[in-house]
Amino acid sequence: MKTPSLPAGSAIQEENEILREENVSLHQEAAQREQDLAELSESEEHYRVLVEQVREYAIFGMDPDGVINSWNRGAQRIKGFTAEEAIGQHLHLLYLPEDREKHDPEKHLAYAAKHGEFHGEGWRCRRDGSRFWAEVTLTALRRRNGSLRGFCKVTKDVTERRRHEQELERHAKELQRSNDDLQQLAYAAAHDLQEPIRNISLQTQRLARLFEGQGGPETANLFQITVEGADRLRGLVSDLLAYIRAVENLDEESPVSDPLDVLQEVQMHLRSALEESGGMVTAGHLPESIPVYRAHLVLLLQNLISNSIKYRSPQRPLQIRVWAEQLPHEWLFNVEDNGIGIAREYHDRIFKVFKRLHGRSIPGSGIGLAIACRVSSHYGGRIWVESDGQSGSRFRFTLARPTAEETE
Amino acid sequence: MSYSIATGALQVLVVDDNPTDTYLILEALRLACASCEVEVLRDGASAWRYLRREGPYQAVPLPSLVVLDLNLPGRDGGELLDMMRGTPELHDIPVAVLSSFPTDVIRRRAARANCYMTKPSDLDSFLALGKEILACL
Repeated sequence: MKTPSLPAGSAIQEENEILREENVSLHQEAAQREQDLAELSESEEHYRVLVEQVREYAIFGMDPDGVINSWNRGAQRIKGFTAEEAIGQHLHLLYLPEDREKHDPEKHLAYAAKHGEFHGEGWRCRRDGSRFWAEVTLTALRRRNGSLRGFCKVTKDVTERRRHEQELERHAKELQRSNDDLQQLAYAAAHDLQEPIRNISLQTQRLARLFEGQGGPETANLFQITVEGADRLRGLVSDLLAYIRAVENLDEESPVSDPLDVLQEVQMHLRSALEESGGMVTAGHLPESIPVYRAHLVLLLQNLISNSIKYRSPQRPLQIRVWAEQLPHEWLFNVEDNGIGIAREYHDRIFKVFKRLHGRSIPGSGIGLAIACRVSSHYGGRIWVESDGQSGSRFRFTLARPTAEETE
Repeated sequence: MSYSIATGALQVLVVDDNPTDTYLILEALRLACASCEVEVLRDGASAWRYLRREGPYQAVPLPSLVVLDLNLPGRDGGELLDMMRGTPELHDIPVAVLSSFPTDVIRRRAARANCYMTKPSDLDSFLALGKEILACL
């Protein structure tokens, strides 16, 4: 405060004027502060009420030693303690006795103090001693100077969620086991069926040979039909066995194959069929290596290419082109031919087991595309066909591509 | 039950419980080697007693070749093969595994066999097996 030292009249007036102006400005400032304080307190009240009213989350504060100093309604609802009961107690109160013995509360507080926050899930106990699975976030609160002011803890009861997760996991395991059982059953059934069928066929062939020249043409015909029937049955069972075994785990350590090399092997396997049909296979861009068992890629390409050979057009020389496109998460393989094509209404059906579109003039049981479908879905891929039903078919299948992280 | 055909130097032991198959194996061997002496046993346990020359088999000669099925009652073909490979006097006897499993499965279940064949379903192919079996010697 200035002490005026008997100034002249005009000077006093001037001084007065300045003082009055300063006074007004101080008043204004004070009023503003008051308003700010009121707003701040309103806002604080607002948040306090908000926190207090939250029922889904237990939200409470602690001092630097872990002694509870605030407690919302959610805390009361989830933990069972009233604010009067909880405030003044240590965080220990909310842990299971065995976790208290392991000093979990202290460890969690120390972790939050050191790293700013502790986040975790675990069993906690209620007032009545019952347990619940808690998802907790423990945050350290610090003053401007950095000293620890206390902690704030937000807890959610996620017992239900955990129960659902465990149930899902159990169901998934059960499904896997049941699938494995079915796979084994199908394999055993198909294999055990083969032997008696093979025996019937062999015995009938022996009988036919014994009776050769006796009983006339009707007998010979009956024998032939019986042998053919047994052979067809054996063929079907053997195809079924191939379908079942298509995705079995292989002995090789890690699944890896070179598609171009596989394509060459497939051409070797199909050499006589390709020569007979005059078919040409050309390879476009193919990745150098993919994480698929070689035998599985052989199955995929061989079944698609032999399908192209079977359904070639009599009007033009067969051309088959194989290439792959790299998509963000997968490879898209293409096997394109200039054969008779497939009408749109059959595009989905052709991948079903034993589904055939043509009569006996074209050999095969209808297992090849089903096998290709099974192998691609084993690798998390899809298979489909694009065709106008006249000028050829383009079979496309995807194989998941490992991300850079997975490759490391 | 056991029976043998012909008499001669080469002793073959066939272990298989399928009557159609054993008949055809005998036929095939007879076609390939008229002088072969073949003994047929229906299960792994009797085959083991035969090879160890126990009980009724004390006087039998050791076979020069064993033709083995995998699916046998009781002790299966794979086990019998392992037991033979673990026994010094039986260790070197050639074993041809003849089974209705595909060859990759046979190879897995009987890795220490000298050769493996899948039983054919065509009569002529079956009767032609004799030469292949003898090639395992």
